[in-house]
Amino acid sequence: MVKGSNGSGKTSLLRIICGFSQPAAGRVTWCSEPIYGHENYRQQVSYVGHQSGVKPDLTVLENLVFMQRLAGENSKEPEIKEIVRAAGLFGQRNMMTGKLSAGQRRRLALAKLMLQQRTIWVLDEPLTALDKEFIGRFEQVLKDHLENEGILVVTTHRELKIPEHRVKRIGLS
Amino acid sequence: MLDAFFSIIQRDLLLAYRRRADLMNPVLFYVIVATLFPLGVSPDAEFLGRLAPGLVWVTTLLAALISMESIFRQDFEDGSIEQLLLNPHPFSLLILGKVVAHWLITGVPMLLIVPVMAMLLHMPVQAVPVLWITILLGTPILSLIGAIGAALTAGFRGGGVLLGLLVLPLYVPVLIFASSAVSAAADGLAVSGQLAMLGSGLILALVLAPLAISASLKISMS
Repeated sequence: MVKGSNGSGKTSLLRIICGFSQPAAGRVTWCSEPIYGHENYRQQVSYVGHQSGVKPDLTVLENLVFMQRLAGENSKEPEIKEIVRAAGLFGQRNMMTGKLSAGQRRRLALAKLMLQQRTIWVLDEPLTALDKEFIGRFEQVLKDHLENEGILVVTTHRELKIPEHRVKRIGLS
Repeated sequence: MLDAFFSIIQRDLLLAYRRRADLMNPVLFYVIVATLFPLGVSPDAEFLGRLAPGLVWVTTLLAALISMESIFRQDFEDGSIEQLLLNPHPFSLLILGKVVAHWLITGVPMLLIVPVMAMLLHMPVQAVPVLWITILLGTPILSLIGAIGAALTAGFRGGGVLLGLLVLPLYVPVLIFASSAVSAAADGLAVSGQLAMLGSGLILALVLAPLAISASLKISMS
């Protein structure tokens, strides 16, 4: 869990971890190899940043179907619908994403994590714009991910209810 | 891997269909030029016929440039370019898919309207098939080269001017060979040399441009 005040470099750190930016000094490794050009690493990372990464002119279902197909997997509609239901967006499944509220768009971005099932989740302020009820459900998803040997790198100004023995805290100033 | 390539084409075509007002811009630009040019210069058929090859190609080039700015803009703004970078498939292949979709959206309407424009500008009939072939070979090159500039300027606000400065000099060989082929066809001369140059340019652009575009996007993102 990465903490720090505004402008302390939390987002920059996450972008470096994802391989979007290069660090000014030092290196990021995965299994003792630098992550840049490490195909296996890239395939294991899911990132949810400040932008939702969803297309406003596609419906909720279309966004998830294309996400799955772009990842080279056959789209499994029942599975996608189940994830949409878990994200509390079943009623909006055929609605254009651009018409959703900021919180609903955030839920859709986070639903992608459940769809992709990757090992490393890199989340930048994932709780922004979410309501209390969904935060509770999302914390459970995070706990399940950690229990399944998943890795979570997260920046947040709110405290996440995750078992303390699984958390390493990094403070940036 | 090809599924992902075709999926991105399908997604971008669907997005373009949902924003179909934007699709009309290059076509409208063509129609406006074909209509206004004879009014502003001269309606004389012989004069227009002589100018038509260069005029059609300059219009094509500017229409392509106008449409280029938007190719990666929204992907940058909504964060989907980052998601493509974390995709298990080669980034350059996905980017090529985006450029192919862009060409289908902007280049194919040009292919459809260019014979009409040629007729409006009194281009000799024997030059029209050659014009069509040059548009078929040349517009994908314009899309591929333009996408390099669009990738480099995607992170800037008001990058359109910079895009023009970066890309227009690279468009010049296409303009020269294409308009020269059409002029030669209008005069009844051989055009195989110019068409061969355009064909080889297309192959070169297809091989190298996706790598340059993906490298440029990574620079813009970092």
